[in-house]
Formats: sequence, structure tokens, C-alpha cells
Amino acid sequence: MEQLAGVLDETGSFSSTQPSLEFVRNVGLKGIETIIQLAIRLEHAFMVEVTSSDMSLLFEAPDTVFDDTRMANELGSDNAPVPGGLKDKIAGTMEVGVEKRISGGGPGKIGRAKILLKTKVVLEKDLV
Amino acid sequence: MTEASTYQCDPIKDEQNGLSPQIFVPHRVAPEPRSTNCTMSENSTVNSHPSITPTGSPPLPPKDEVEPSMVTPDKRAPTPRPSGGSEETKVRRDTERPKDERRDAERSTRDERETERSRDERKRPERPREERRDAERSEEMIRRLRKEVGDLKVLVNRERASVVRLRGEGEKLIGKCRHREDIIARLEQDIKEIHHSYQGALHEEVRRTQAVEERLKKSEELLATRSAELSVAHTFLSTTDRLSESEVLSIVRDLNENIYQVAVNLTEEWEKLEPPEATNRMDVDPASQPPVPILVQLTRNRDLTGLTLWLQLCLCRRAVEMTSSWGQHEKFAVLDDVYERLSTSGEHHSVDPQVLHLSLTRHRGTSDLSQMEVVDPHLPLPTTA
Repeated sequence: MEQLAGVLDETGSFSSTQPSLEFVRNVGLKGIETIIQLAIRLEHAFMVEVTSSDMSLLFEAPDTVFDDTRMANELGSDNAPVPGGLKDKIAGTMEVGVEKRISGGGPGKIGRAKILLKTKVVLEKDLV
Repeated sequence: MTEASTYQCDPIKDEQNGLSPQIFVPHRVAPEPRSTNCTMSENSTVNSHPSITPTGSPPLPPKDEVEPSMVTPDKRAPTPRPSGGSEETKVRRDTERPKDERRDAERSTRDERETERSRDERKRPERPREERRDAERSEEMIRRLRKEVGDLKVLVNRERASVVRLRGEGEKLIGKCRHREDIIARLEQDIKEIHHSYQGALHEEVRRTQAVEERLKKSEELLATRSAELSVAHTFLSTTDRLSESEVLSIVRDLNENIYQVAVNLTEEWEKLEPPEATNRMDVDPASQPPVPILVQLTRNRDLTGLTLWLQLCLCRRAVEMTSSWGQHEKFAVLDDVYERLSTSGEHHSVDPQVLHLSLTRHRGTSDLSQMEVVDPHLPLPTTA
């Protein structure tokens, strides 16, 4: 909640962090609680209910190079290459994904990973 | 009568009369049985002694000069006979009993004496009738006694044979008893040896049983301990998922939907606020500021999309942090190393359940957005210093 207040504080609409925090609490408290409950539910599922594999949420940080095997472009722009030959960089993650890892089955073997749900991201080029 | 008289030797009858079996008393076989037993004819030249006459036949009166009771057939041989019967008798006697000549001689001598005595008696006047009767009675008694003696001898012989047979059987039984006693003695000895060996084996078996029971008790205790440990670890070793992938994805989609909704609500409510005065940071010359991420720039420019995206990003990161157990804390960095080793060695079962629990639920996230990095699942994880 403090992080959200900090983001809103960057807009300059609030004189300090406290009013922005009050704003977030008044507007989005219920939704945030729901998000926390779902996160706890997923934590219990990954920890207790799913034991055959190692499942986790995927999150991509900004400035990360886009990888279509793990990410999905939320705005759906064409995949035209960036001028200058640079790779696409993501601006941020809009929806988390799910990754599943299975152990190698023996000593010295590396487990394989499977993307169950791609992370939805927004590319920088789509925001410019 | 004289012509038809023949002499036969009946050893059985002689034996019954108490005579020796070797002594064959000839007697004449009468053509007409005057009695049940053979008797000598009164006209016979050879008269048998009254003592050998079967019981029941009346004694013959002494009509001739020679008393029949005192004369045996052997002694009758010299008596003249009108026919050739004496010669036949003699021949038969000679042929039948050539072996007993000495006895015959003695008997002949005795018969001659008796013959002389009977001649002397014949010369005397006849006895009185009573004396004759007494004599007959005496002779009858003598015959009976002889017969009884003969029967007794037969019985004695039978008894002797029985005794001999019983003695043989007794000796056989004694031998059998001794043999069986030997067998019993050997069996008793064998039983003692077997009992001794059995006792030794029994003691050895008891000792082994005690050792086995002790080992079994220790094994049971160890099994109980292992079972308790296994029951604790069973929760973390089960390969059966209680939640399917689709259910997990459904929860994740709900999470994303709520994140988006919260971000949109905050943006819409923020949009309703009055815009800031000249002191707004947006009025600052961007060229004079250090480069900032594009989301920050968009937010400062009051771009709703940028603000919504930034809020979503913050909520997503927070949700990811909450689904991990230690990812954002430095003190849990060692668990990342443990998890990595477990993933590559497959030694999940030999690790403490608590560590395994934490390792299986780890998340490699960071608390700072600027430090977040892309994790490639195909690349080896970085080791913790």
C-alpha cells in the first residue's frame, strides 16, 4: 500500500505521502485485501497442495529483453524490430504468469521448466 | 483151531501191558472173537501168561499139564506139536527177533525153571478151589496193576516229552527275553544319548531365540522411530497434487483481474482529483533531470496508461513476493543454494523436511524493482557467495 502511495505521489497530486496513502486506503483497500488473500491462497497451493512439481509466479522487471517464450505483449503491437537493431525492452508487467519446474529425476540432471501462463508485459516502444 | 492159529506180535498191546516194546508177545488170533481182546485158546500149544491177558477175559483153568500163566510163547517152542506150527513159530521168532538173542536166552532159562516148577506143582495134588480163586484174583489184580503201570509209563513218557518240549520253548523264550533285554538296553542308551544331545540343542536354540528376540525388539524400536519420521516426511514426499494446474491458473487469473481492477480504480479516482498547482513536478524541465524509467516519465506527465501500468506492476510484484517464502530476504539466500543442489542431485529424500519444505516453496524475487532480473529457466542459477 505504501508503494502505491509512492507511485501516486509521483504525480504531484498530493502534498506528501500521507494524503496519498489515505487515498489508496479509501479507494482500493477492499481490492488490495482480495489481492492479498489470493496471493496467500496461491502461496499455500504452491507450498502444500502441489508437490509433484515446483510452481511459481512469473514477474518481469522493467528494461528486461522481451522473450516471447515466456512473455506476451499486452498491447498487441506488431513485432517489428526496433530501429537500430536493438531488442525490445519491456516497460512493465501487467499480469503475472505461472512457471512449473519438474526435477531431473536423478543426480546431476537439471529439471525442465514449463510455462503454464505467460507474463503479460508492455513494451517500451508501445508507450512512446 | 490149531491149524488156524497164528501168532502175531502186537507191540502196542505189549507196551500197554507193561512189557518192554522189544518183547513181542505172540498170541493167536482167533477166527471168532470170543471176547473184545485177544486171548489164548485153551487148546493152544502156546499159552500166554494170564498176566498179559486183557482185562475182562476170565482166567483159563489149568487143564493141561503146563500152567498157561507160567509159560511164555518162547518157552513153548520145545513142546511137541502135532502140526508144524511150532516150527513156524520158531522160524518166525528167529526171523523177527534175531537181535535179542541174549535176552531170549535169559528168558529161556527162566522159562525152563518155571516149567520145572510147574511140573513139580503138577505132581502135587490139586489146589483147593479157594486157593485157585485167590490166585485168580491175585492174577487179575496183577494184570490190572500192570496195565495201570503201562498207562502210567505212557503218561510219564508223554509228560517227559512235554517237559522236554516246554524246556526247549522256555529256553527259546529265555533267549528271546535276553535278546530283547539287550535291545532294550541299547535303546535306553540311545535314548540317553539323544536326550543329552537334545538338551544341548535345546539350550542352543533357547540362546538363539533370545538373541533373535533381542534383535527383533531393537528392530521394532528402530522401525517405530523410522515410521514416525516417515509419517512426518510423507506430507512433503507425496507426489499426488491436491490442486490441479487448471485450478492454479484460475486463481492466478483472478489475481490478475483484481490487480487490474485495483489499478484502474485508483487511476480513475486519481483522475477526479484537482490538478496540482505550478509547483507540479511536471513543470520541471526534463532535460535537467536524470533519466528515469518510462513509467515514471508517463506518470509525471499524468498519463493514465502509464499510471495504471505502474500501479499494476507494483501490485504484481507484491503478489509475487507474497507467494514466495524467503525470496526477498538475504538471510534465506542460503536456501536458494540448498534448493539448487537438491534440484540437480535429486536428494530430496535425504534432506530435513523443514529445509525441503522451504526449498520447494522458494521464489527468487527481490524486494527492489531495480534489482529484479530476468530468470532464464534454461540457465543455471547463480550461486550465493
